Amino acid sequence: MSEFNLSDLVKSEFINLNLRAQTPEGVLRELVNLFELEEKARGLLLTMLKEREKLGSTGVGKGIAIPHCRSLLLPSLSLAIGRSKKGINFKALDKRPVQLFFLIVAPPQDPYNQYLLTLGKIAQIAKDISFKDSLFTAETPTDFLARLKEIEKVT
Amino acid sequence: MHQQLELLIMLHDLEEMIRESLEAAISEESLGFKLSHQEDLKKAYAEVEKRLQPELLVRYRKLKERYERAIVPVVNGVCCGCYMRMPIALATSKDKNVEVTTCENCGRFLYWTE
Repeated sequence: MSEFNLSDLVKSEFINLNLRAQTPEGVLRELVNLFELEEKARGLLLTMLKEREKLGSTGVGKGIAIPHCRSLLLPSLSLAIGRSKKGINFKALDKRPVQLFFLIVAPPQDPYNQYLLTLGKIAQIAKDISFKDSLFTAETPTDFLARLKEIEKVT
Repeated sequence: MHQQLELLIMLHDLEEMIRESLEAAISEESLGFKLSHQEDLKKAYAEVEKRLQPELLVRYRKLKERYERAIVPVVNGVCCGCYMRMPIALATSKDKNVEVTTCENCGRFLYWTE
């Protein structure tokens, strides 16, 4: 399982292109809410993601952040994507507001170490795309995924 | 979800984060993340330990000594620690995660993901 695509991993129901939150915590909460989890589990996952952000921001620059953690709470590697039109101060490395969020949560049992491969793939995309990429403007999750697929073909 | 089970999950997930943040081979720094305040994670870990019932903590530590993981998910009715199938009564119960349960075979704490 060395070759896999992000665009196959994420389903359109796990994409929210109109995040309402104005704060980093609010964004994480909106993203966590996309997963099918009971309320307590959502709260717990949110706590873990906040702990991870304390280690250093996952804002990798160019308006992209990759919040992530390992957790028992989800049975398989899960990816949720959110976009904030206005941008959020996420203490990113380049200090720019973050518009695109790729949330990754992986269970401890991860036979192919997909977690790190996924992180690496998104970090690569962040390096390659420009601020004008249509990922920042796509109207629907379907358009967004189509563009993601295109990028993945090139990288 | 049982409050003590929540704490066990937190303890486990924090352990994973501390371990991964220390392992150079899978360092996030190569991916472009800045990692610094590991102490914060350790503090959060110590706080969870304090809130956990002492007997559960003792059991957790004993399990950790014996196995790599003390709490494991149940996926498709199978314990992810020892791969034994759960008894039907437990697998079909509606009240999963309401109590702290352990695997009858290996003794690890269980978390039901479905």
